[in-house]
Amino acid sequence: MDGRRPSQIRNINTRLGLNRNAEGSCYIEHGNTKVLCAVYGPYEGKASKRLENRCSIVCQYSATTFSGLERKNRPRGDRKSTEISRLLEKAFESVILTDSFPRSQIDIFCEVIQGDGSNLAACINAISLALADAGIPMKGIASAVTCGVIEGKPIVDLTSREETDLLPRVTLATISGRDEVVLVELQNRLHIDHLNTVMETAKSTCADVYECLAVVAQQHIRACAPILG
Amino acid sequence: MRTQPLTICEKTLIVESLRAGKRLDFRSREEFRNVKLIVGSEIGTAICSIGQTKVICAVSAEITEPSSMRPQKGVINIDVDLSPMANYSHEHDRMGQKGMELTRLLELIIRDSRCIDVESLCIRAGKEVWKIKVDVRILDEDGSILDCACLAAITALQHFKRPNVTLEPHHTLVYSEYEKSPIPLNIYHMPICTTIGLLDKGSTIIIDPTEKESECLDGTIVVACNKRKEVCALHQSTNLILTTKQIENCVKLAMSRAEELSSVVIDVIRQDQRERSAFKRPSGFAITSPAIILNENRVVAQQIRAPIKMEIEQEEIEEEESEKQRQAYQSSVIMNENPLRSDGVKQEEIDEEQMIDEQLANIQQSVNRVELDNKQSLDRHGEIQEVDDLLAGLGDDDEEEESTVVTLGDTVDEEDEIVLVAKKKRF
Repeated sequence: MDGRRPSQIRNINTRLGLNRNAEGSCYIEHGNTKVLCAVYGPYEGKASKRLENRCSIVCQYSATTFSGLERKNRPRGDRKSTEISRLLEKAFESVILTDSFPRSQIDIFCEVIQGDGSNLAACINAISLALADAGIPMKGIASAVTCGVIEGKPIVDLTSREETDLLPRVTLATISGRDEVVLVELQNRLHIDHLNTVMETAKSTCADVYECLAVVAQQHIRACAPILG
Repeated sequence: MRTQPLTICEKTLIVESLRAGKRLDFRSREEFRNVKLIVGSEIGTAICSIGQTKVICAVSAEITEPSSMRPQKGVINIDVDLSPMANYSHEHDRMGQKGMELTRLLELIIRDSRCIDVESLCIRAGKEVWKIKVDVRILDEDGSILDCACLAAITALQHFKRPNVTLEPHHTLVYSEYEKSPIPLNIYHMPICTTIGLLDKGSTIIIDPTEKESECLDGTIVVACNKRKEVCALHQSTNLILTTKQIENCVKLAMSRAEELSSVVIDVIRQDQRERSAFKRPSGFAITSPAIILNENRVVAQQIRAPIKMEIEQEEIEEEESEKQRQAYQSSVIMNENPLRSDGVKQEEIDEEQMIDEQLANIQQSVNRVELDNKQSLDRHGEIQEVDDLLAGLGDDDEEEESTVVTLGDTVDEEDEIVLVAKKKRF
C-alpha cells in the first residue's frame, strides 16, 4: 500500500528517557503510529494488589481522542482498551523477572498519540524500551509485530488502512527474537494452512524488530554511562 | 467474597496425577467432558452444559438506528453476566477481569469473526437496522466457561428467527409470527471455542480443564475454529512462554473438536425444526430449567425431559429413559403437594397451561400403563373413559384456579386407586 515490500517493516524512530518523573520512558514511532510510554516503579503499591511472592504489574492503555479515524469519546475505559491493557499486563508478567521484587508494584502507562495500525505491537515495543530505560530486570527485550495475510501471502506491520480491510491479522510478541511467544492475538478468520507461514513470518520479523530495539537500548545506555559514572 | 485457594496438598495431588496422565474425574488428558445442548421452546434460547458448567443464552432482536459509520449494517450486542450464583467470587452487577475477558472474547468470536451476515439485518439504510442482542448468563461454573458460553450463543443464534418486515413508503410494518413466518439469521460459519490448559511450560496439554484443574495449571490458551478449518480467534490467557510449535499443536486439537461439535449443533437445530414443522409442541426448558437449577446435584439431568439431549459417546436405552421421565414427572407433581413448593412454582411464573397440559399428558400415559396392566379386565374401556371424563373436568377447572393444581396432583398419585374404586363400584 505504501510502497513497502510484504516483509518490510516501517521505519522505527525512538527516544528514550524523556519523562522527568518516570523511572523509564520511551517514545516510539512505527511509521505514523506514535506511542508514548512511561514506567513507574517498582514501588510499594496498593495493599489490595500486593502479591507476596512477586511484583504486580498494572498497565494502562489509552488512545487519544484524535488518534484514530473516528474521534473517540473518551481515551480509556472502553472495552477494547481495557482488553489491550490486560493483554499487555499478561505479556509483561512473563517478560519481567517478577520474582525479584516481591510485594511491590510496577505501573506502566501507554498513550497512543497517533494510531496508524499495529497499535498493540507498537505499545509492546515501547514498553520494552521504557522498561529497559528504567533498568528493570527482564528475560529479554520483548518485540512484537502485527502480521496479515493477503491471498495466502503474509504481510507485516500493517497500517490502519490495511487493518480495516477484511484480512486476518495476528499480533505476535516474542522475547529477544527467540522462539518464546509471550502474546498471540488473532483476529478475523485464518485458514489453518496459512497459520504456519504467518507464525514463521511474524517470528522472524519479531527478531528483526528486536535487533532495532536492542541497538537503541545499547546506544542509550552508552549515552547515559558518563552520567551514571 | 473471595474463594478459598486450593490447599497445597490438593494442588500437588492434581498436578502429580495430571503429569501421570490421570484426572480426578476419570478422564484422560485429552478427553472432553460430555456436552449437553438444549434448545428452548422460546425461539432463540439455548442451554449448554459441559460437565458441571452451565450457561443459558437468549437472543432477541429490536429495531434501532445504525451508527453513522456503518449505515447498512446491523448491530450485534453481546452481554455477559457472571452472576454470584455461579461462583461467589463474582461481584454482583460488576464485571471483574474474568467477565471482561469473557465478554471481549465472545465479541471477538461472534462479532469480529463475521459469522453473522450483518448486511441482511438492514431494513432502511442509515435509518433502521435490526439489533441482535445476545444475552449470556453463566448459571454454574466449573472450568471452560468460554467454550460453554460460545456453544450456547452459537446454538441460540442458529435457533433464532427475526420477525418479518415489509417496507411501506413512510413506515415499516413488523409482522408477528402468526402473520408471516419469521426469518432465520444468515450464519456463514460456526466458530467453536476450545480451552486448552498447559502445564510444565506448555509441554503437557490438558484439554477442557475443570475449575480446580485450571487453578493448578500454568495457563490456558483459547482457540476458536470452525469446521472449514479456519481459526477465528486465538488468545493466550496466560503469562507463560510458548513456542509457535506448541500453539500450532493446540490449534490442531481445537480443529477436530470444532468439527465434532458443529455437527452436534446442526443436529440439535435440525431436530428442533423437524418437531416444530410437525406442529409438535416444543417442550423446551420452561419447566425443566428451574428443576435443573434446584436439584443440581440430586437429580441426574437425564431424568428431566428435554427436547433433545445430545451426549457424545453416550447412548441411552430408550425405555429406561422413558421410565425415568415418568418418575421425574411424578416427583414434580408430588412437589406441588408441598405448599412451599407450589408457592415457589408460582413465583417462577411457569406457564400454567403448559404445566397442566403436561400433567394431563402424564395422566394419559399412566392410564395407558394401567390399561396394559389390567389386560384381562373386560370392561376397561368404560373405566378409562370414565377416568378421562373425570380428569377432563378437573383440567377445565384448573385453568382458572391455581389451588386446584394440588388436587390434580393428588389424582395423579392416586391414579391407580381411582381405577380400583371405579372397579369396585362396577362389581
